[in-house]
Amino acid sequence: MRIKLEQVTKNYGNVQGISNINLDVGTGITGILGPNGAGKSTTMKMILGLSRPSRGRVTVEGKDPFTSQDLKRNFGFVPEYDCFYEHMTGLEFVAYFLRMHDISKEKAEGMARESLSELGLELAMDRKINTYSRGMRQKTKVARATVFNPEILIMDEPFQGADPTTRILLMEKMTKWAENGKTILVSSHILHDVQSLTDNIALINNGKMLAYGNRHEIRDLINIPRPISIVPVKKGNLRKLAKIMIDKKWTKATAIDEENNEVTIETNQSEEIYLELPKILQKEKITVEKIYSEDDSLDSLYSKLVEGAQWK
Amino acid sequence: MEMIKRTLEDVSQIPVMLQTFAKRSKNVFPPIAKDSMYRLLINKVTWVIIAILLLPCLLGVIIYYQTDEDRQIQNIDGDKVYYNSEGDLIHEEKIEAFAGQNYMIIIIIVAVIVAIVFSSELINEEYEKKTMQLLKTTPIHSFEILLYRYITGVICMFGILGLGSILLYYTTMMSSGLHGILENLDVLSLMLKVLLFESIAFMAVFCIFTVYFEKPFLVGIIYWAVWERIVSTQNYQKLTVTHYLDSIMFDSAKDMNLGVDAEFFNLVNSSGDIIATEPLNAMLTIIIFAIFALWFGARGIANKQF
Amino acid sequence: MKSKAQVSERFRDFDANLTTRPWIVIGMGLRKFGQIMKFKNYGLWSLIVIVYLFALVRFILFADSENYPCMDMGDEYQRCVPLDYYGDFFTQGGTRIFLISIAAIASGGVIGNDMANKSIHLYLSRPISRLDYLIARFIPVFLIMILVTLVPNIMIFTSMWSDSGLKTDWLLDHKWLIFDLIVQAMVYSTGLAIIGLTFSTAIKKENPASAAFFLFIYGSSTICEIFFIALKVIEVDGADFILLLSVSHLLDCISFAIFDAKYYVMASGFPWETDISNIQIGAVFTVIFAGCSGLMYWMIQQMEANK
Repeated sequence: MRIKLEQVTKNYGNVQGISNINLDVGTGITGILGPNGAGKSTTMKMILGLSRPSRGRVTVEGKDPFTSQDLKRNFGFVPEYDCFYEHMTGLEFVAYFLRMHDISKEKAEGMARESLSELGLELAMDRKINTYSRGMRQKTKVARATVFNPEILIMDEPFQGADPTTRILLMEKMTKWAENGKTILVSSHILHDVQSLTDNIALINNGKMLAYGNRHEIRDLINIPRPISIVPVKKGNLRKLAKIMIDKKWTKATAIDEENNEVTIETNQSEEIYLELPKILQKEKITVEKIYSEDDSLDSLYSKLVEGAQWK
Repeated sequence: MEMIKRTLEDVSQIPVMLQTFAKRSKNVFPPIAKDSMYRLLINKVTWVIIAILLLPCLLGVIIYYQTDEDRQIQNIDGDKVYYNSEGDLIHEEKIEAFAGQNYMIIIIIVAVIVAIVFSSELINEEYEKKTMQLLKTTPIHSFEILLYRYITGVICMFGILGLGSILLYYTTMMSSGLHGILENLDVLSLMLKVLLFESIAFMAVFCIFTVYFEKPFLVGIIYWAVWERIVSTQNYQKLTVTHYLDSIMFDSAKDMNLGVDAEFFNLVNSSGDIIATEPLNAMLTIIIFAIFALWFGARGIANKQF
Repeated sequence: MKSKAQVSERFRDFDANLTTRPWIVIGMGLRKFGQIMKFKNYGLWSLIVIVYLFALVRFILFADSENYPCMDMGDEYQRCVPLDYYGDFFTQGGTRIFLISIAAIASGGVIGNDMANKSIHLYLSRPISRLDYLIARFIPVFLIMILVTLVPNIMIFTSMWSDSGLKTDWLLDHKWLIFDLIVQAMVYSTGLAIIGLTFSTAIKKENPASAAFFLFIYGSSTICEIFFIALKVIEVDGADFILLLSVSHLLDCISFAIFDAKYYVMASGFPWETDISNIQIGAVFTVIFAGCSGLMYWMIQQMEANK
């Protein structure tokens, strides 16, 4: 299913929540990233039809989610905050929302039981929610959102409060759902989690869309030199390597880090470097341990875009 | 303009919507009703209300034991008929007391508070706990969200107040024996009828308040004190729920020898003319008002942004 | 670049000693008072305005200074303006229903909201005891009640004094009246505030706590009054004690005692005699308010930060 945001602005009184956001999301996992108060939750709520844009258009499969009742059959929502009927058991809670999908009691209970068991709550599902730990609550929210196999899954900070086992379990599930053709939007503060889930990201800061798309492609579009580090096997080759690199036309700057035994070059033409470097190393007979770029990580991209934007 | 257009669209979709709601109701209504009833029953305020309802019953029992010795019995066709020390029929005296107490305590004061508390628990709590956001991401229509909670609220409100009335009737009338209790069941059924329509009307009013206002208790009390207690006694009383409830009661009460007149119910205008509404019209007005209120409340839920 | 460090004068005089407990408590109380009295709380403000307008119209514009504060009604009963002020709206033309509503709204969320959003844990982590916290939460409700009990009565008093030509003699003749008005307002304000806070602590939700408090005070007052009259009509002994079940009648009894007037219940346009001794009133008052304070303290004592 396709989610489209066109020139979307949302104001809260005089305060602007998000401004002129464009987004086009298809199947697979898309990570929505941004600092606190960036507008991630507002964006998600507008996609879910919980809120309406002040200007612009939000559509899901061409329909307005705020008014279309049919669309809501396909929405699975994991909110960031706690919102439970605390007096219900986990099983009752999940089954209750299944009944809202016009599913019979027996079937709803069976589906809820299966979903909660898959997420490791088989022993706790008959206990009242007010006795649950944070991780259990998180799993219950995910079970509620996914039990009816929705086409669109919107997960606001799904990993918060989850222990490492739960986190890995959730990630595996999300990858599987994405492979089955679901559209998953996930927001998280833990960039590493998003990085291991997807390369597709939307970066929001101060209510504005800073970047959207494949993170490698985004990096290539940014005109900031990319650092590439080369670690030679012999420490004596450090200066030789630095000298060779500084003479090349693609190199903007070179730095030697004796302590870590590496030469870092900054360049705007990283692809050319990756093609040429093996030839150069072969010619100069320099054996290297590894070539890597910290810049490939989502952390680096995030800090460049978000922190850079904040500095401006 | 857009509002009118949307309203017309809504109206044209009503038959299809009703058909869908009817089909879905067997799966959607029971869980909502069960959860709502449970929430209302575990609510501490419900128990404060029950305690307040038991107070007049307890006082009724005290009066019974205080006056028990003065009673005189006469056997008429196998029935034990009780008279007081002055030779008057006890049940005729007691039924007036019951009608007065039931009207003053349950119909005027307790019912309004019950409606405010129940509507607040069923609707406002969903906003406070943010479960309304989850409900709005499910295919359930905002009218269904409100309607099923409303129906459960009406059932619980009528149930608790009705039982309170029955208990009050029994404790007030027990000094007149079984004969007196059976003789005046029509008054009890009138009170229950008024309570049912009061539940229908006030739950609808306060459902609107809980949807549109953050502090429904405050708005509810001001509405009750100003609109239902003051305006309902004036010339424009036909705009109040109290007028229609009083009209239902007045029509039957005047035939029941309860010693009440139109002025007792304030069903007169400034020129002294009786302006009571026909009971059937009054009932229909209340039902139509409740349907309109539900539609208006559902619009509020549908348009609410989070 | 090196420069000599500088700091503003006020920071150099800064005394790092912690504020004393009473000041923390008073500060918390006054801040809460400020929060509740914000103009956006339009409902509370509208009720306060209604009380003042009512006092202005009923007790100032249509009042007669010769009959202030009390006038004889015959049969040793007196009708006093400060007593009527707290009376029932429907039978005596008093402000009871508004005062109870204000107390319900002001007290409903004071402790309940702190418990619901768990900010009570933060308050209790400050260098104050649980009792101090209760006092800090009592202060704002008490002040709001004083605003609608004592202040309008002082207004009425001042207007009567001005009606009598602002004479010093008049003031000297009524010197004990001011004292009585203050004690009376404090009794009502303390009573309603403590019960309101008990409901807020027990129910933990603002709206239901307000509704339960209103029903408890106003509902029981109406029920007890109806039964009191019923028992009086059939001349049952001990009917007077039913009034002790109603908090607002109990407060009225104390209020009448303060003004040294014989207590009666106004119904159907004339006074109904009662015979309850001051000792009995005092005992019930002590039991109810000590019970409420104790219950509230116990409920807060039971709180543990376990979630």
